[in-house]
Amino acid sequence: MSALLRSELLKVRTVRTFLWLALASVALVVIASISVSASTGAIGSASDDRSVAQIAAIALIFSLIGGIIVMAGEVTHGTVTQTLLATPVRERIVLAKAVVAALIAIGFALVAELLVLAITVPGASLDFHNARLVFLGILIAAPLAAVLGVGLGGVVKSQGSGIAVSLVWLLIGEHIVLLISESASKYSPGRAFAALASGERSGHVLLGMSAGGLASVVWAVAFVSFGLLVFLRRDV
Amino acid sequence: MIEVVDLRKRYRKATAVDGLTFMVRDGCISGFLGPNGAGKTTTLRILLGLVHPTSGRATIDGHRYRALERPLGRVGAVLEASNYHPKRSGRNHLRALAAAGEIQPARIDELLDFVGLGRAGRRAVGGYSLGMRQRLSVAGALLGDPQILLLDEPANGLDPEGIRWLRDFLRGFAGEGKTVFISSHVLGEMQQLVDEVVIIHHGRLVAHETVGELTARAAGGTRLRSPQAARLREALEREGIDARGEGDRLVTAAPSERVGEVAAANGIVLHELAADTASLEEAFLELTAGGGIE
Repeated sequence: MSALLRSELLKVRTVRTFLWLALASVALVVIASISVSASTGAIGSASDDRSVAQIAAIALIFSLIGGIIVMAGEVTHGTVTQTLLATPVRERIVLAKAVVAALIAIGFALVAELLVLAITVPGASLDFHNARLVFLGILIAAPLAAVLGVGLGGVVKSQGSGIAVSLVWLLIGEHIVLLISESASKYSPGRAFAALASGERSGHVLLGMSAGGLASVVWAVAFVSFGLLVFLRRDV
Repeated sequence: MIEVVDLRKRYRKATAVDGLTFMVRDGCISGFLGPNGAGKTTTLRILLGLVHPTSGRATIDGHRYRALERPLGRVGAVLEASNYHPKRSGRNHLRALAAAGEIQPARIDELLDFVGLGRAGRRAVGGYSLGMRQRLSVAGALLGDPQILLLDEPANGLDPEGIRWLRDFLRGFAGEGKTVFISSHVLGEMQQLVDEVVIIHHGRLVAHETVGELTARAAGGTRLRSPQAARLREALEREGIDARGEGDRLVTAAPSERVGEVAAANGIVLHELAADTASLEEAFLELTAGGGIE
């Protein structure tokens, strides 16, 4: 398994896609953090501390996209054929890709959190103590989002369609679910991950952090299982 | 040994492989021929575990590809030339493959030099010509020093020098007692290269024999030269064998063994007696009723 992990990490390191993803994530986090610092001055409440810390949740979107690219990118470029020739046991490939995508996501999340801290502690007097659960939630949510992305990447036939589907869901699908049933929408993927990253032990609009975390795990496991099933049956 | 037994692959609207059975012996160069859509690529991909068969089995050394231990060390495959990330260098592509196959990195530069990509190896594959990609595919196939090579149209995109390089390489590979199973549309090359051919049409086997047997069977006639040609023609006609020709040369549809026996029985001198063979292309077209060659 370590050989396969080395191979997958090499694939990530030897193209610039993930560097661009990291830079895009960093740019958005920096812009948002500077904007908050400039407009807020000093944060007045624990709730505001959590809201500001949630800027780092931008990394979740890029973790999801990274997971999709790790898995579906090979189908897009046709390199999945060579991967399967070297490792014909497809379950191992999906597992290795999930691990690698999760590691990348943890990196994205850590960088985002450090940047938020570096900019908003001096700029807006962010209290780390009040925000610590948000940072913990994002660190847990990022690898889960990446694993969900790997699952989605196993279902779609190109990374472009995978990214498009996920963004359309987050921007439109989540709102449609909310309009249909407010109580059911708390369990939708986007809102479950938002709850995990909220830092709130209980909530009205979202689930509490623990319940959101559990729902996020269920979504990640469900997606990666379905992605694996599709990948196992797919003719390449 | 490559073994395909009653293999079928049905897609929604079409049957690609329909009850195909054949076996390729170790240490043999076998050609895999068929018109467009005959099922060659599908069969090769089933052998490599990339496509799932509807029924039947395709095995290498008695095992499905998925069950092979260290598959790169047993089988090397050259498939389409476009299976590369355009921004990744050829060398890095091989590094990722070698890491997954637990192959020593030192082999990478050795193989890049061998296929003539020593300097180009550090460039992104997106800038490679089709021929360079084919050479990179060959390097990838050889990473694990395999005993069997499966090649799907490896001459595609190669210039004449590249085709010659490929032919010399395959001869050398087979010369070490290793097995080559190759699909190609360059039938002239195939005739020079392969020991035997497996020909399929509409997903079914239509011939599996040596090139010599196939070409002789396809033609089935005899060319002969004799200073007593007129006497020989009469002797053949008495035996019900039709012969035609001018001067001392005759051509007949009868097999050479029969013609030789008639000449000997009548004490007729022969200066030449040769089985008239067809080219592999002629034999192929005869067997597949003129279908286009994939």
